[in-house]
Amino acid sequence: MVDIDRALRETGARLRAEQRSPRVDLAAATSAGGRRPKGRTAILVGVVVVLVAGLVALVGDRAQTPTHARVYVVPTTEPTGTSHAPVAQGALVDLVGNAPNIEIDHIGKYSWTSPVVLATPPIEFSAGYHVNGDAQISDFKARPVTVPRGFTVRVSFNVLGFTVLGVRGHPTLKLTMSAQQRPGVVTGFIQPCVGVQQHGSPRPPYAAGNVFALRGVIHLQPVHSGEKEILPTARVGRQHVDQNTPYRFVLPAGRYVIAFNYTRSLEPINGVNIKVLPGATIHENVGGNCK
Amino acid sequence: MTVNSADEFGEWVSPHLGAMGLLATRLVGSAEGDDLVQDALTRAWRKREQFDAARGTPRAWLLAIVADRARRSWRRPRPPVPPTRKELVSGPDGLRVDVERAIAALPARMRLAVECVYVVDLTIAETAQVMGISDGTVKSTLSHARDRLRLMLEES
Repeated sequence: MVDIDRALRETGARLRAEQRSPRVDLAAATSAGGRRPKGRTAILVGVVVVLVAGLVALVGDRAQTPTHARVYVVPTTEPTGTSHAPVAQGALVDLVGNAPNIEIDHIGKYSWTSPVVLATPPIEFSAGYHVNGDAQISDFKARPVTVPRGFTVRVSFNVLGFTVLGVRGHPTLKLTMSAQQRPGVVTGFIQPCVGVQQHGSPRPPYAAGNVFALRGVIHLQPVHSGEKEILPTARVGRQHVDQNTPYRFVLPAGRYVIAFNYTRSLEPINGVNIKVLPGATIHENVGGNCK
Repeated sequence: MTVNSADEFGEWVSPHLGAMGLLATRLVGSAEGDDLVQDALTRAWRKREQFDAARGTPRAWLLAIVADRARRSWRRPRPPVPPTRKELVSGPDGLRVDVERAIAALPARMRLAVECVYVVDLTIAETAQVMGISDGTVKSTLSHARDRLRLMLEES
């Protein structure tokens, strides 16, 4: 008999642990919406907008029929929302092209290169886009490229079609890109292996040992007696701490396992999953299970 | 609701972005999840005056918008592939259940209830607010979903 309730709870817990924060643009959400007129006014305004948009689109389609693909020339000034931070050694703060808007005013190929140059290759690169308005986008690509002074990000995409939004102008493609994020901090102690304590007895000192930061998450491997925890092997940090001394890792945002042992051995015996968020400090004690 | 500025709105929704992202990912897939959350946030901003704290929590209200946008979106998940026996059953001591694939094979209503309660970790009351049904109906939907999952897994 399958214990469905238990299986569902375990699956849910695992999915929650693996979930990353969504990449969204709150500024875009609040600027695209605004307060809508209510009641009859809303209906009237809606009808007028639809009629005007339809008329403009009909006229616009003729004017915008592509004769050839052209490369969109992005202004040399940085797009609104681009943020900077000094690029230095170690873990950094650096957002590349944080939600710039690219106006869509023709059908064809667009390309855009971030004006922000990184001194070091991006350790994490991601990009997403969100179209404000009615436009069909295809072949969206964003990739890091080498430039004379370092590295930057190049974006390209095709616009298959779009509708002019009347008084609001053209639709825009809002980009969200990050090449390197602010680091986070994880700190804590190694819990001692003390067994059951008497009520009211003083807290035993935190233990000495080795603490490891491993990139990735713990995987469960089925074995005869249940499941065995498999620690990731990508080690990004190791510290030896003395009694009552906290460990502390400064890490790029991401998922890690903080593992430990009670000796100076280089092999961790157990660990916990953590998620390092940019700029945040996580307190996570490890150990205490006497393994 | 007294959220008038964009900054206040940001603070108001931030604690719930994780749950929104998780539900969106589960309903439309990881590739489209972020876009769905963005869409839901835009709608939440527009409709923010309709939020009534007496009728439910902000989290349930925001997740209801995510579920609604997922239903309306063209970004529907691909039809679930029925799990094979090899995927469902392995291991030396009986069953190793690929529950995720089995959940994906549930009817939409049952699936949403399961995702809300077991994956997003909502209470029955919050799930009822997200789905727009009563607590009792959530419980019975979950019960039917569990029965169906059990049948699906034991038959395979």
